[in-house]
Amino acid sequence: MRKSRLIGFLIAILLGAAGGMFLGWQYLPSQVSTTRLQDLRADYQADFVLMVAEVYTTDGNIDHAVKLLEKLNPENPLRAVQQGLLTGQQMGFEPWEMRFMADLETAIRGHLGQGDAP
Amino acid sequence: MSEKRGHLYLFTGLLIGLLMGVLIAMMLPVHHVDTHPSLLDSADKDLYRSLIARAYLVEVDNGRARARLDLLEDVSAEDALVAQAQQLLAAGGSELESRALALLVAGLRQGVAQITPLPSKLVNPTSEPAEIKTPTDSPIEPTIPPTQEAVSTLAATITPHPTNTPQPTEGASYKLVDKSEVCEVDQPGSLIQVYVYNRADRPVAGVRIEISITDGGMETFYTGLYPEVSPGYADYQMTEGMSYNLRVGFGGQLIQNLSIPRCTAGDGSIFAGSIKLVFKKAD
Repeated sequence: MRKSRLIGFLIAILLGAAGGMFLGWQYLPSQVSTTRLQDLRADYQADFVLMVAEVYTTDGNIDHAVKLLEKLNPENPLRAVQQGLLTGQQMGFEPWEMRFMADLETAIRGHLGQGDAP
Repeated sequence: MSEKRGHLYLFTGLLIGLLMGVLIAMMLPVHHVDTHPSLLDSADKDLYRSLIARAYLVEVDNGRARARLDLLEDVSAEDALVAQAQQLLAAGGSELESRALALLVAGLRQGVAQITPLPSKLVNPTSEPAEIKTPTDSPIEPTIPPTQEAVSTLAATITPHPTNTPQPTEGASYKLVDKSEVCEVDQPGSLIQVYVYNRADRPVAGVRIEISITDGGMETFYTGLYPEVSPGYADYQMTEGMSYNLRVGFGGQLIQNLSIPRCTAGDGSIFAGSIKLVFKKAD
């Protein structure tokens, strides 16, 4: 009998903890965030890529552009631009916006020595 | 008797668990995926903000910059930009970035863009976007359909409103038109207060001000970080016993030997004052 009460007590704590965590995350979430740029939704990432492409058109600094794009994809910044292009196409970005991103993609290919193959 | 107590211990366990759960949720850092810019950590928010400012110099689209800044959900986007620019300058960060932040603040506060879009430096920009290569071997699709909010942000069209004045362009030179001592007993400190105007007497934001100490050392700051005073205002805190040289814009007039003025109060006591310098774009 005492064992079953102990088990019941522990289950009640676990259930309470689950409910408490749900309520806490819903209504009292931690103010400390570890969310990074790479966790952004695809459409926001595409807009980030566009901004990087715009900056690149004015300063021509490919190292800086790559460094920024590594925030979206640390292993493969080129992939970040390609994903931005795809999302941009799906979302109907303006032609000039697509051109900026395409120019950036070409420049990064050259910079990383990846030729025409993605 | 023991059967009656049964329900109470379950309730106690539930309550303990609930408190533990809430505490854990409040203490554990949150990590979101496929998320919104407002949930970024502070370092990435700063990076996002500075990129918005840099992109603003290209597009000169106040509406789009505002829409992007709104995604960060700062209490006041302008205050956040000003704070970031000041932190950047204090830390000796990128001048271009702090200038972009200052210009964006000025643009947002005044409601109309007052800068000329930066020209493209691309060597071989493609003239037509006819063929845009995209990878086809493993298409990537956004996992969550974009919301209307995101669509409206991204679909904003470029609507630059460049005007001829004021134009804080590189190479603009400014001439000192007025220099005076400011003697106010309750002033917060001894400042070099700089006001910069264009030829049409309109304040100009984003103008570079270079200040150097006579025996070495130099600092740079920009107008526009105190739009509540004036878009063309900037100030610098002087230190007792130091002498400063100041130049506004690139190749502008060098103002030498600036130091804290001595002011006399009504009761005859001496206190440290400030200096007010007014510059106007040279003809």
